[in-house]
Amino acid sequence: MTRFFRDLWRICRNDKAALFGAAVILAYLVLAIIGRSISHISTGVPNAASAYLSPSWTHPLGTDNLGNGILAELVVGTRPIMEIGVLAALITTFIGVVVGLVTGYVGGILDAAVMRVVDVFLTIPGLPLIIVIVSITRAAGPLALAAILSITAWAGLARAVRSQALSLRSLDFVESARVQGLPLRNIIGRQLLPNVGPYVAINFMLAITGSIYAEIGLFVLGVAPLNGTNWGVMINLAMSQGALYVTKSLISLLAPMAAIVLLQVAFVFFTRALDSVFNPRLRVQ
Amino acid sequence: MSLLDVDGVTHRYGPETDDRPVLDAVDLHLDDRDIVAVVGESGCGKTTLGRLAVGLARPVDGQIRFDGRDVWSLRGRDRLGYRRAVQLVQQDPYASLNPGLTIENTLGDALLYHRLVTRRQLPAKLVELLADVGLDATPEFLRRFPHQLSGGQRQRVAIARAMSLQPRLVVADEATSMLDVSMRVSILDLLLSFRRERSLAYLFISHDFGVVRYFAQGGRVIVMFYGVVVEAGPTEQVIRQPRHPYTYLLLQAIPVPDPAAARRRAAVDTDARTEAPPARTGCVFSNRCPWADERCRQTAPPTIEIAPGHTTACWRPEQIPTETVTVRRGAPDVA
Amino acid sequence: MSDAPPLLEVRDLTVAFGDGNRAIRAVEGVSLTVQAGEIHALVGESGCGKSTLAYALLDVIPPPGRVIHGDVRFRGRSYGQMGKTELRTLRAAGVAMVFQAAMNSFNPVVTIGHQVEHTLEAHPRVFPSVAAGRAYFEELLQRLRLPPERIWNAFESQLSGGMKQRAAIALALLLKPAVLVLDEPTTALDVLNQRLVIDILKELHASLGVTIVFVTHDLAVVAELAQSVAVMYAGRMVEAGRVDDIFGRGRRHPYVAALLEAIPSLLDDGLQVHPIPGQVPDLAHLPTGCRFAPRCPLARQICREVEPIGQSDAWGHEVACHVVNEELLPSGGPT
Repeated sequence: MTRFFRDLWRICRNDKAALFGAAVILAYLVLAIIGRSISHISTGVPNAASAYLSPSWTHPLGTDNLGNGILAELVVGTRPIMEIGVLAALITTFIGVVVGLVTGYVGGILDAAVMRVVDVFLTIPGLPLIIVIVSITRAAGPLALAAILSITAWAGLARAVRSQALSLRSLDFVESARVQGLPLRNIIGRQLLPNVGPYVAINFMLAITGSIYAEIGLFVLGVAPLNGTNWGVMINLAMSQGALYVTKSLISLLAPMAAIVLLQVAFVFFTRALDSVFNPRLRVQ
Repeated sequence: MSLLDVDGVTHRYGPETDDRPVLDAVDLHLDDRDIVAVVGESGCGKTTLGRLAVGLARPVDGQIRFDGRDVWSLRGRDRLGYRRAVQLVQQDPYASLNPGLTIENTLGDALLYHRLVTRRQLPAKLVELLADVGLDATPEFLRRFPHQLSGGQRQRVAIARAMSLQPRLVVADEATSMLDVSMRVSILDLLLSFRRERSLAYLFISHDFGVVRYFAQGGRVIVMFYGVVVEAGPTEQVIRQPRHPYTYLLLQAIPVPDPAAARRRAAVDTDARTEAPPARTGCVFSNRCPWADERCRQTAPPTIEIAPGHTTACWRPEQIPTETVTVRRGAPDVA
Repeated sequence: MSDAPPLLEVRDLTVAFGDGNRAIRAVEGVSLTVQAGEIHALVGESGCGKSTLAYALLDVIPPPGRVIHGDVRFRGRSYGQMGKTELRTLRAAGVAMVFQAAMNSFNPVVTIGHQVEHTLEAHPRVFPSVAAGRAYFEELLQRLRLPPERIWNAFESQLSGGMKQRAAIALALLLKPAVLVLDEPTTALDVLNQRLVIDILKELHASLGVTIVFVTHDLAVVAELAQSVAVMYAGRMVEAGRVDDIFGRGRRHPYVAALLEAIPSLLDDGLQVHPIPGQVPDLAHLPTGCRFAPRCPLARQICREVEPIGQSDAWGHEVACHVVNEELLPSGGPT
């Protein structure tokens, strides 16, 4: 474990982009955790006099139509976005990995049947389905939203992990575990999983970015409930208030978008570092 | 009732084609404490035979029986018992140990699962296992990862792993081929010492006749060619008096570590026949055999016993030259 | 003895991997001479440096390896002093190499013939035309018992291991190099293919007069094929001489003597084997003094303190061992 972090640190030091990515992600995580306590949003009566103010010392990014500081809103809005994003990625990865490893290793009828189900999920367009389900069920909580977001995403991962399992199962040490009579849970958990670990970790990171985009989409479209502050809601409100057409309020639209893009780019850069860490270790020495 | 019965086993990978199957109606029997070596070149099916014997694959036709019972009919406790009783030592010490697990885990997982020791007894048991295979019997060694061990050490761990379940049959698939030559005999001696102390049988797969001659002293050797057992018998007898053309040609072609002897040996006619594919009809070796006649090409020969315990699948074993193949070490030609 | 410089000369060569104090010296202080027309073997076990030495013969040591002392000379010219173009020409037309299992010999996405044409076009001065080059290549293929038409149109993946190895030899001989270097030419092959390669190399040597240097761990192949032998252990050259010297019972390095007794074979006494205790040292943690001392039955105090230097007798048979060479001291002749 420590070796992993040491390698990671060494790579980040050399690859500036990766370092940038790691730093930004860390910053966002910190904000997600403590954001509420350092920024204040008033939920009281909107103050027309302080709407759409230009950037100033008290409000570095200006204010929105309700007089709330845009930066403050960004900070507060970090948590719900990341919560749902990470949760969705966790669900996607867990299901994808388990399904992929079991079908890839066990094979036979189970594999054939499950892969047909996977095929179905792969052909269904993800975003429209998510939109439909969220509208119908009126899901509100982070867990429910996360679950719905992963409804089709797990399928692609399952496919990829399955093909890894197919090639791993003929490795000598996996066969040796079979000859020793070790049960399926040992083979999946101890023999196969650590060897797909690197691939899964990187996919997890990218799954977070995918989930964040999807959920932002839900909020922007107004399908997901608009209570609370998050970037998607901010974009939605900004759009509906015509921010696209008025220069003074443009920043209330661009700011959340920039926040999203910055985070996504950071994730992508960071996965470069993960790639480098895992690559030499993929060698079975 | 034999320990292991390979009964008319035919096996192929993928759908049935015109090509010969990987194993063609192979029969083989092993009793307790037997040593049976299987020799042949790449493509002869010896590795597949080993895999079927340990239950890694199910034969397309025929049966693999352990203690008289078809291994693929075993369920539950019986199946676990079979798994414990038949173990495997693989060729590549760099691939046979999980690189992400410590030696402790590699050796301990199965012991715990089969409840051969309790968690509390495990450390002592593992140290004992290490000592049995000539490794540092220390807790520190147990905490190491495979990449911290040499090839020879890894192979000893693999052997310890196999022996930990107290098997009655161990299949060794080219267990010394990837080790340095100077240490091969110590691994072979280690395997033989286990047999002396327990009631253990070996199915020893190798392409190296020299190693087979050493390991299977007093045992039997089986020679395979493209899925067919062409000759079988007591090791030294088969080596000194091969009764199948393939065995004979193979033994003649093997280089020996003595330049004078190499100079004196009759040159073997290695020609394009070496590459000829195995025959689809008749005797499998007929495309390459210097003594093949029309009958050989038309009809597959039966397996006949030409001496007690010594069988061959050849129509014309009398054609094979009878001079002994083992070679005298010679005095150097240059003073 | 002519005054011309030897074809290949290795002078006190040291090759290191990595840098600083933790650099590993894969080859240390090795001197070797290869005369024109010889078949020379480099023998040793894992980590002895024989492959690195072979790569040094044509200056293709893979990075991070580099020469940190000494040099290699081809016909008297040191590689260190050659320019890029000269080296490039040398590597194909002066000293050609065939890698283990013909790996990286062939571009997998073009046919063998295509690759031969590329090679001919890259070295236009060897043949008057590409057609002439192709004709020569097909002649080589026939010497190697390969069907010319089929090989020319084949992709690497369509050839068996044995055929690929021989095709790689043909490609290496295409530009008529003075020296052919082969890394483990028989190791990945089964017995009959091995025999074929050994016989073919002998024939090529006789008919083309090409000097052959081959790397192997298999002493039997050395006995059959080599005329001169250099034995390496843990980066040092411990013995060098004619093949009969190495296998003879006279003055020999204890490692070589022990090695020959550790290999089971088909020789008459091939069953009287004893393993060499211990294992090859880790190049990162070498013992002081002679590198073989920890495993040597003759080791004395001086062996554990001072590394022995190679000493030749009157016939050019060199041994690096205090104990063996002591018998050569003050009195002058062998005891």
